[in-house]
Amino acid sequence: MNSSANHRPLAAHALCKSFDATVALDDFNLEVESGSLLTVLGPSGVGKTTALRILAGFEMPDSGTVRVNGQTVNGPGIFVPPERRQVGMVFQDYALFPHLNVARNVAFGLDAHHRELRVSQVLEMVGLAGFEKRMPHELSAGQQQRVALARALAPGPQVILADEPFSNLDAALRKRLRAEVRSILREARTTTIMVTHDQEEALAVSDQLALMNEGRVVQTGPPDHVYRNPATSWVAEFLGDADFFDAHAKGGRITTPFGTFPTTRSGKVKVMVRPESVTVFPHAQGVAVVTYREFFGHDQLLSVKLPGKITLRARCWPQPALAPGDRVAVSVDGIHIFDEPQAPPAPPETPPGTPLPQRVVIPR
Amino acid sequence: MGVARPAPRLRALPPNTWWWVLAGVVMLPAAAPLGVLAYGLVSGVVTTVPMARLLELAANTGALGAAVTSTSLLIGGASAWLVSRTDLPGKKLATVLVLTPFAVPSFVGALALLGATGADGILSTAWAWMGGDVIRYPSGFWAAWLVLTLISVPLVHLAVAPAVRSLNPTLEEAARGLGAGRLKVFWTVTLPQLRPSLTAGALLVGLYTLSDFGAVSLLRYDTFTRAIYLEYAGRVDRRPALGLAAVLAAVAVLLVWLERGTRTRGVWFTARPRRTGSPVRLGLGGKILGWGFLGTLVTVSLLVPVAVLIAWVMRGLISGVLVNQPWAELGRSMWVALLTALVAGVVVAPVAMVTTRYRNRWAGLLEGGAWALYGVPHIAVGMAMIVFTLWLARPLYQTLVLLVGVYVVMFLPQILGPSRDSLGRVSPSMEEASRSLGRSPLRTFMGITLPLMAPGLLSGAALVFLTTLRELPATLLLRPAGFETLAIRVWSATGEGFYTQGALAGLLLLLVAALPLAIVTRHELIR
Repeated sequence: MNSSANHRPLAAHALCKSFDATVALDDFNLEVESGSLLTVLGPSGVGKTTALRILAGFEMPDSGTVRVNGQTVNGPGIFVPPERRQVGMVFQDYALFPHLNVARNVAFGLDAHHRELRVSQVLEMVGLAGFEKRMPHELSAGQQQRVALARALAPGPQVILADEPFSNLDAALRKRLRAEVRSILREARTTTIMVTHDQEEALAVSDQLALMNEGRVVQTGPPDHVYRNPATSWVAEFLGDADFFDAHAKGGRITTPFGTFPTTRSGKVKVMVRPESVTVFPHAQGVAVVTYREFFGHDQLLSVKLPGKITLRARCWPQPALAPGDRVAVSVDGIHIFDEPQAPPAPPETPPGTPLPQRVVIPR
Repeated sequence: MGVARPAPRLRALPPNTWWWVLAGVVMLPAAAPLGVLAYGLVSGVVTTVPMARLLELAANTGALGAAVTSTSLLIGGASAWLVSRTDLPGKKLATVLVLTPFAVPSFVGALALLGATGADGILSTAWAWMGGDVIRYPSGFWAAWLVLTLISVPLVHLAVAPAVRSLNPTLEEAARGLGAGRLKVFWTVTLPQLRPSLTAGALLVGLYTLSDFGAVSLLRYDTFTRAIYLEYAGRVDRRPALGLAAVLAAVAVLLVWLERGTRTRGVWFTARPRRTGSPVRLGLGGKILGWGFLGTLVTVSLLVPVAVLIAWVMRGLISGVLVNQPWAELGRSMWVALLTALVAGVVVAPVAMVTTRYRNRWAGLLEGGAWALYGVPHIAVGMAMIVFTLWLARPLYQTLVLLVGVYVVMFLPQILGPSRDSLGRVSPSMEEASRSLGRSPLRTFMGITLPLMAPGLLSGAALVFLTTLRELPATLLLRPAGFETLAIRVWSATGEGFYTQGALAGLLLLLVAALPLAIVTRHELIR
């Protein structure tokens, strides 16, 4: 463990948690930098919410430690209850107190000292000044969410945890609100850990991503870095469209039907291609055949079949209008190589800086 | 690792252990009567009662149960159909009027019958004045049957009306389309759809009849409950009374078990939303007939009894015999009921918390414990507690503490239901939000959970209050010497033939207990 963890607003180390027979967390590690927004992203049922609830103090881990601003709140023989953790929480259902008005909801975590000042301060911050006397049921879903955020921000916690904060909103509102919430959090300079299963949302708002699968964090890093350099094929596939095929690396290169790529590996490897890096041209002697086309207006998605039972998808300009059966030439803007299928998933500790397969550009 | 500031060391305690401890302590007393009754059943105490006597009581009780159940099924089924399936005008009023008699305690019903047709009764006097023959003292099977049937009709109506409302009209239409006549459709299509709710209603009525003490004791019909009291009152040896109580409790538990079984099946039959049929159109004749039926029912079960009580009070006022007014009893009843409601309100909180928030074996056990005494006839519970205190808790014998404790345990389901309903609407994340905002578990409970739970707690406490006011057999057996409540006053005055005294106490009881009860439960009743 590195000593900088002591100064993180929040750090979790080697958390394990099982419910009866099911393992929810299996060696879960997470650190968040001060003032940043970290998103824990993963499919449903991988233990994201369990992790968050342990960090908040609502669940006890079977083992592992949690530290808030260097202070151990979970550890051997130590359990600090939620009310003494200085960790704020924004709930999926907002959990506004229905019998208290907006001002009293927001003031709930404050002591009498400067209470009113602080309430109007945070309500101002979330754009709800003047709503003090409203009851929760008189607010729209978006307003309720901002009250929940204001309530969590008000006591000035070390870190705010948010469990799927946008999942209760309709699609249009969700996009608008996540931008708003992002800027509120920036303005408040709050450290935030958010949990979601929505890739687009995670990529759009996060400073840092932590990808989670099967009870552990598989990869962390800035969104664009993780998207471009997935540590495992699972990460690659979870974050966006990807096609895979097996290939053989020999003498520092991989030969594919669409060109030859340099590599440092040898032996059996797994090659990943993202649809947006594939370009196709109509070509009578092309090696590939279009098998399927979906037209989206702003672009089209083509499925092409190459020799060696390789199928790639290409996301490209809507022109030219290709039809199934057309012969095409294929050029690929970059591939990604994994040691799989034999290799186990990368260890969770893998920091983003470890050597990853290189991106290559084929010579045209 | 770097040097961390000293962390607060706290024992790692799962956050909600205290709720479990509290809930367990609260439910422990329910084990006492059940244990004694079970002991009574297996220890051979039953054999202190001659077999012939047991069979006689079983036959009497069974006959009354069968008669009351079948007639109330017919009347209640008809009223449910009229109110739920036809275009009869004034259905809301009819529903309220048909259901209200359920709030009349059976001993008040018996008093009304005796006061009307007994010696010197209002109707007998009028009859004699018109030159009729002297009417025999109304007692025995038919008298008990009449009173209990009239009070049970609302039970059947309640059980059947929702099922009638959600009858699937397409099935009947399909049968008609296949050439079946109205009568055949009723027997082969409609009735089978109603069978679960009819069965549930029948079992409820059976259970009620089995448990009733007030009417059968005043009308001198020899069933288990009356026999238990006579054995208790007439002997020093408590074993025969305990043996009878154990048998009665066992039969009741069997009925409850059957009733629960039908309840789940009934849900299957009625839960799915369907198109509801357009109401059956009654012609003018049908409407007159319908209101004639409902009007007779309401007159006999509600208006006449109340009128008879009022007449007796007037008679007493005019002739000046109305001395010894039951104000002290009223006060005593009110405050013991208030105390019971208060204790139940406090005690139910942990049980509701645990059984709402956890779904595991222990929660199931606790919930079972809360419901354990549901359906066990109160006279059996009372008898068991007499034996229990005499054997194991002598200082509690005939104390107010015991009385209130038994009330609370018996009536807990009434407050547990509404409390759980309102607690179920409090998302656990609200409590967690409060914790993460710095409030301790206790302050969270006081600031968030309790206020949100309050409506259910209050309406449940009101129910407990009203039920306690009306309670007769347990009070009779467990009260401190000389602790006379309103219900006991009605019962003992009626038993001794002082109908004037009984009528005033009975009217008071209707005013303070039955009327509010009808109002409190109205929302659930109608819907």
